[in-house]
Formats: sequence, structure tokens, C-alpha cells
Amino acid sequence: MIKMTNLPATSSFMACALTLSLSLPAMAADFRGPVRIVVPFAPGGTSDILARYIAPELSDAIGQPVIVENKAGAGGNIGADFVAKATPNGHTLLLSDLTALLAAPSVLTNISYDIEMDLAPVTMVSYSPYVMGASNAHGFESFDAFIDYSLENPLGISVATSGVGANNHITTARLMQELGVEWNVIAYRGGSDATRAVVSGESDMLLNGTTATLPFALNHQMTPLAVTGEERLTELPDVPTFRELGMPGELDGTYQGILVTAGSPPEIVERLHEELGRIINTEAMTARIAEQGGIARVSGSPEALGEWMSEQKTELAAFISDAGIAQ
Amino acid sequence: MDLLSNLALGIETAFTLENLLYCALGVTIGMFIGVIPGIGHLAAISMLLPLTFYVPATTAIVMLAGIYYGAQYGGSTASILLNLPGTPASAVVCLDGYPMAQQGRAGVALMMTTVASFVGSFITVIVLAAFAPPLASFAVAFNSTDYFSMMLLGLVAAAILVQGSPVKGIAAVLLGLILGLVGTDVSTGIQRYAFGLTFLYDGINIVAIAMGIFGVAEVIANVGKVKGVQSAQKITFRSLIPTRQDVKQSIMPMFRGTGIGTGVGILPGTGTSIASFLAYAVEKRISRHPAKFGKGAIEGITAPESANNAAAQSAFIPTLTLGIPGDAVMALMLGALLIHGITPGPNVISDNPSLFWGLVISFLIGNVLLLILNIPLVGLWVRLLKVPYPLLYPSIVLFIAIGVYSINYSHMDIMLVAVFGVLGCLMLLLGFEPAPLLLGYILGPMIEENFRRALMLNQGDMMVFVERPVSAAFIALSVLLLAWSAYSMVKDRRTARMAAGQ
Amino acid sequence: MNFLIKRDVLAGLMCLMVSALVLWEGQNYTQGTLQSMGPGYLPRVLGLGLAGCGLLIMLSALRSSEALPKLNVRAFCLVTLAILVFAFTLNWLGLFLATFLLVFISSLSEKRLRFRVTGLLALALCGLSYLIFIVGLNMPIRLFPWSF
Repeated sequence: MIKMTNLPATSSFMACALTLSLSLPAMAADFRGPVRIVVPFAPGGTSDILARYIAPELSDAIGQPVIVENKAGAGGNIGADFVAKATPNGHTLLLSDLTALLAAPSVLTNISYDIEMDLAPVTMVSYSPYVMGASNAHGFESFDAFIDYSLENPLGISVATSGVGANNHITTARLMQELGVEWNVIAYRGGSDATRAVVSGESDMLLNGTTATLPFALNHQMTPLAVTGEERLTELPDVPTFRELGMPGELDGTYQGILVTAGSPPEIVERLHEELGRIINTEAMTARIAEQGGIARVSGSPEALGEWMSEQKTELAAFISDAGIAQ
Repeated sequence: MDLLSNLALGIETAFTLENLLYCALGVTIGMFIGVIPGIGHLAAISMLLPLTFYVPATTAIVMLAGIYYGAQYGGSTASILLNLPGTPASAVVCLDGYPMAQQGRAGVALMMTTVASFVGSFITVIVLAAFAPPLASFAVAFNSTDYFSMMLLGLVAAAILVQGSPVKGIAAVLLGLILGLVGTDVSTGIQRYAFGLTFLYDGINIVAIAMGIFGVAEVIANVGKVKGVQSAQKITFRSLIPTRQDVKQSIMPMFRGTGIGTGVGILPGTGTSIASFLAYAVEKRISRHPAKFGKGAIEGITAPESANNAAAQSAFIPTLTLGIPGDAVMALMLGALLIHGITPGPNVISDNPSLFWGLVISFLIGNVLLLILNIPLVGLWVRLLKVPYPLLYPSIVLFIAIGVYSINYSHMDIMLVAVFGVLGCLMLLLGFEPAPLLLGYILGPMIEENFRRALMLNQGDMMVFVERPVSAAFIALSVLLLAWSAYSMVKDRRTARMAAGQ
Repeated sequence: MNFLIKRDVLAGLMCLMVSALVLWEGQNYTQGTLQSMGPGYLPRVLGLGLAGCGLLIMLSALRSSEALPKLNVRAFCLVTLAILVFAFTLNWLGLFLATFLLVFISSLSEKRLRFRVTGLLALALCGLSYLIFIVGLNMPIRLFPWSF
């Protein structure tokens, strides 16, 4: 149970002083005092649920309380900024949708931290593919039929997104570019509002995570046309992937990852990477992640995640300014 | 009968010892959370979420839901006793609840709001059990056009809330609408009036506004004043009992409030505040003596209180039947289901009948518990008025500050409370009313967003607002209400002039 | 001179000031048309509307003669200061010290500070908020300057 009382805090403070004086080198990768996982989104979302799955396991592994803290706002950037400016001791982690943070410098103004300079990578946690779901109003039965209609009727199809600059907005823009179609892109207030719009037939299509779309697809309230990712979904064996349809691999879903304040001791980051990798790869955790539409995916090393992030960031920046998504 | 066997299943599920215990725990926590100003049920539920990891899904949701609807009961307590709303939804209860307390009728007001809460919740739960799926399909068919027209009606209702000068009332509504502009513009992604401050990107926290302009301003106005009437009053058992007249005057308002609350609550994204404000406006409009409103009219507390509880219960309809959450709390409920391996969506009821029906029955149990728990507490809360103000107000300010902090763990939100406290004092000095401002703030973003979206979806054709039947009905109602208000204003002025002439 | 300190004149003036700010900052946003509103359309409408209200209120001041009600300036300053101090010390000094500061600063609004009573009140509130927010609700709030 995660609990914060002054008693453990003071005693760990004393214990910390003791260990410091006794054996500094041997205990270097040990955690002193509670660790917090900052989730920069409202409770109940994917990042929050992952953090709450991981927290008790991490606590067992490192022998310190692990606290999940939601600091929502500005598309994840308030929480990220908080971690970026925390004491660099490896005790403040950020669990977030990484694409949102990587796109932020290109989409928002006044982001007061640099994701590459102020935050250090630890590990990726999971990947969730997108399902392209069409409203039943038009009765499209396949991806091709949908695209044919879009080509014949420029701006005749309205596509719902979770907000300007949101992941699914960027993916929508990529699709428009790839396919040479013109859609009427409509921003909604968050993913569930966008889903509501497509189910009601107000908008015609959206790209969204599997947890949000699958129930409607399986209940025939939305028609799944395609999915992102390398493989078809087991729940939707007849729905092709974008790759099968001849689209490039960039049409990804969302990536959840864990970062830490830059300048944290490397041995602590290494220990975090090890423990988290082990926790995420356990059968129980993989199954839990799958339950909410994700695929567990641990980075080989913190550096590997760092490379992936900087590639993504450059690519996103180029694409976003090219597609005119930022204001 | 299908419904009967479902109810039997629900009773079987809800009446296990574990579910009863967690239900009682949830509503008790919720009740106290509601009473403390500032602290929201969202913060409380998210912090208590880990407690439910180790119990079955149904038990978890029973408890978390209990916190949510339990908090709706307590929200009006501080409104009545201290003129500061426990939740934004109960801000409107201040208008008549606080005058009642000043007249020595705090106990009556608390008793009646408890009963009104119970009536609103209980009826709505029965509606939920009987008609959830058809209501949900109605709710989901509501589109941007309909939302816009409905919110427009809400805005007209805001004008009815005004007690003093009509022009100042409209100015207050406009101020609220302007505050609602702050933050990211949904349609374009641009930050408006955020002045580069990231904590404003998602808009101003509504709790900070409500606590500032109602709570802090009220505290400042009261400090140093010799508290006369209410602290001298004896609290007898009799003074807590509503008169027959009180009950008679409240019955219809409670039913109307329940109807409005249920209707507003099933629409995703509208929330409990709009329900309570609308219910108040309706009562004031149709009352035969509207002048009594703002001076302790009992309808002015019972109707909004029923409405806000009804809305809290009916918010579960789209959440559970469709998997579409109306607000952050409902999204959290769905998150809790996900954690327990249940994917929310349109199949939840058919896949997990014991979850849905167990929850429905637990709502009934929870509300009965809340009624039983709240009545003896009324006497205790009234005693709060006996606490000397020099001891009371630092505590109020502290709880407001911690409560607001708990929403996002952001100290900037506490700072905003101070800023809006200053604004609230200015408004008090200059004769602007806070309630229309709050309603303007709540409605503004929804009106703009849905208006622009409706036009984007319909190639700028303004006729859509009158072409869709639901939207047309709301527009017609707004126009009627506006005409009626203008007419009665002119009439009032004429009678006043004639009275003055005599 | 007397005209200027009338309640409605000041109220109208406040409306005009807010409206000026709204319209000034609103220039940065694209306006668009009613059919296809830009982010600047509504701000402009609201700003102009508020300016109109402000003028009407000032006009009504010609007839009314309401003076400003009294404001407890001391309480106004100290309560506001107490909240601000709490906001900016909570993350740094922790809940308990920040509570003491808030209670003492806001209590200075009274004519004379009763040191013992206020201290006891602060202590009691520390205990109460510890029980409610930390023990009861498990909230991650820093308690002491040296807590994490």
C-alpha cells in the first residue's frame, strides 16, 4: 500500500544519513526515501492505469514506497515540466504518452523545458495501436470504399480528433498526405468526446486507441477499416493493417514510456531500467497491459529509448510544420 | 419478467456483506468530502482508487460511485451555513440557503436539502434501472447543434439568476464568458488570454473561481463583524424540523429539479452545475412570488439540490451503457473498470449484468444510508455556527487552499484562489453578483465550441440550428423565455412606477 | 470629484477596463466571420458587449447616488496575503509550517492577535488536515521542509 506518513520520511532521512556515512560506494544504486511516478494526465487514462499497475511492483523491488501523482494540464506538459525541474536524484519518474511530449515543442508555445536536455530516458513501457473506425452513417465496408468516397468528395468526410495537435490529429494529417485526400478535420475535447461524435454519426471517422474503439467495433456501432502496427489485432482478424494496405510504417499509435529528471545518477537510472524492465516483462504485467489494449515493449537500454525519442522528435517537428498543424 | 430477474440479480449482488460495507464506506467518505469546501470528489476518488485494487470490480465501483454521489449530498452544507459552496454545483444553493441560515432556519434548510438530495437521487436511480439503454441512445444522438442550443437556453437562464440590476447581471455573465475564453481554443489549438502561462493552457480551474468569488470574498466581508443573530440563537430540536408549509412548497420543485437533473445529467459533458443552475432559474421563473428568491425561498434550495443529485446519478447512464464518460469523474470510473479487466463499452451491461444491476441496487442502498446518516448530522453542522468566527475563518481559508491544491497538486491553483478572492471582493463592492458569472464561465466554452463545430460540420449553414428538432425546441424555448423576461421586466417597472406615483 | 467615487461609476469603469484588456489582447487572434469563426471572434463580441454594459452602468450612475460599501481593507490584504503565502510555501516548507503561516497571517485581520489561541488553532488544524488529507485520503503533500 502506498502511504505517506512523516514517520517513514524522518526515519528514512536518518537511515539515509547513516548509509551515507557507512558505505557510500556499495549502496550507490539504492533508493533513499519514497519514489514518485508523476502522471501528467488525469486519473483513469492509459498512463495513469499503467503507473498504478507498476507502482506496487516497483515498491516491492526497491523497498521504498512508490507514489503515483497526477499532475494534469497543457497536454502533459505541466507534469513533464515538474519532473524536468525536480531534484535530479532519480526519485521522480514521469510516465507519459511519449508522442504527445515529443510533439509538444512543435505544437505548443512556451514549453519551458527541453525533453532531450531536461529529461533522461529510462524505458518504454508499452505500445498501443490505433484502430481507424468509421461511423455507420455512410455504410462504408472497406478501407478502399472509404478512400474512394473521400477522393470523390473533397472535405465531404469529417474526421474527429481528440484535439488540435493530439496524436490522432497528427496521424490523420499523415494519412491525408499519404492518400492525397482532403478531409474536414474537426477537433473535439478529448478522445471520448470524439468517439461519441463518431458513434452518433456527427463525424464520419476517427483514429483512436483499441480500448476506446474495440467495444464499439465489436458491437457494430462503428466499422473498423484498418489498424496501425505490425500485425492484425486478434480481436479483429479481418481488419487489415495499414502496412498491408501499402502505407509506410510511420502511422503509429501511442507509446507510453518512463523518463526521469536529467542529471540523475546513472547507476540509479540503470537500476530503474533493470527493475522496470523485469516488472513489465512479467507474464502478469504483460497480460494486464494487453487487457487495456497495449503491447508491453521494454527498451533494450535507456540509450536506445533516447535515440528513438530524438529521431521521433525531429521527424515530428518536420512533419508538423510541413502539414501546418501548429498555429 | 426480465427486469425482475435483473433486479433479483442486483439485490443478490448488492446485499453481500463486502458490497454493503464498501457502499457504506464510500458514501460516508463522499458525504464528508462534499462538506469540505474546495476538495473535489475527483481528487478523493483518485486517491482512494488503489484501495479498490484488491476487491472485485463490482465492489470497487460500488465504493467509488458512493463517494461521487455521497459528495453531492454534502456540497450544500457549507453553502447554507457559511455562504461558500462545497462544490461549484452547490453555488446556487448559497442564494437562498444562506439567507435561511441568517433567519435562523439553517437546520430546516439542511434537513430539506438532504431530503431533496434523496428524492432526486432515488427517483433517478429508478429511471436508470428502467430506461437506461433507450435514454443512452437518446443522449448519444445529441450533437453539437443540440448542445449549442441547449447551452444557449442555459445562458438565458443565467439572466434569471440576477437579483439586482439587470445590466450589472449581464455584465457579470459576460465577465464569466470572458473568463471561459482563457486557455486552449479547442477548434484551433491556439492559447487565448493565457499570457504564456502554462497553468492556464487548460483554462482556469473552476473550483478556484468558485472558491475565490464565493468563499474568500465572503470570509473577507465577514471578518471583524460582530456576529449577531445566528450565534445567539438556541439550537433546539424544533428549530431543525421543517414546517408543513416548507414541505408543501418543496414537493413540486423537487420533482421538477429531478426531471431537469436527469435530463441534463445523461448528456455527456454537461455536469451537475448546469443542472442545479437551470433548476433554480426554472423555479424562480415559474414562481408566483419571484421576489422571495434570494431572501430564503425554500424552493431555491430544494430544486437545485434535487437536480444536482439527479444529474450525478444519471451521469452513470452514458458511462455504463455506452462507455462514454461525461466528465473526469466518470472517466475515472471507467479507468477503475479497466484496472479490473472490464473494458467499458456498449456491452458492459450484457457482459456483466451483475456489475450493472448490483451497482443500481447499491445506489438505492447508498442513498438510503445517506439519508439516515445525514439527518443526525444536521444538528452537528448547525453547531458549526456556534464556533466563534475568529477560529472559523482561518480554518475555512485553509481547507479551501488544501482542497483546491488537491485537484491538480498545483500551487498555482491556490494562487488563483487569492486572485479570484480579490475579484470577488471587487464584485461585492461594485454590486456584481457571483452566481451569473459562474454560470457564464461554465457555459461559455461549450457554447463557442459547439457553435463553431456545428458550423464547420455544416459548411457554415446557420439554418442547422432550427432544422434539427431538438435544437429548434431549445432555440424556441430560449426566445420565449427571453420575451417573457423582457415583458415581466417592463410590467414590473410599470407597477413600480405606478406604486411610486400614488 | 464626488461623481467619480459613486459605486456605479466605478463599476462601469471596471467593465470598460476589462473590456479594453480583452479587446487589446484579442487583436492577436484571427477573427473570421460568424459562419466560420476564428478564435478572435467571440472575444471581440464579448469585449464590445462588456464595454456597452459598462457605459450603461455609468449612465445609470447619473440617477443613482449609491456610495461604495465599506471594505475591511485589513482583512482583504491579510487574507489574500495568507493564501498567497500558503500557495508559495506549501511545496517548499511543507504542509505544517505553511498551515501555521496561513493561520497566523489571516488571524492578524482581527483587531488584536491572541497568540496562544491562534497557535492552538494552527496546531489543531495541522492535526485535522493531517488526518483528513494524509491519513484518510493518502494525498501526496509534503509535510516538513525535509520531507522528500
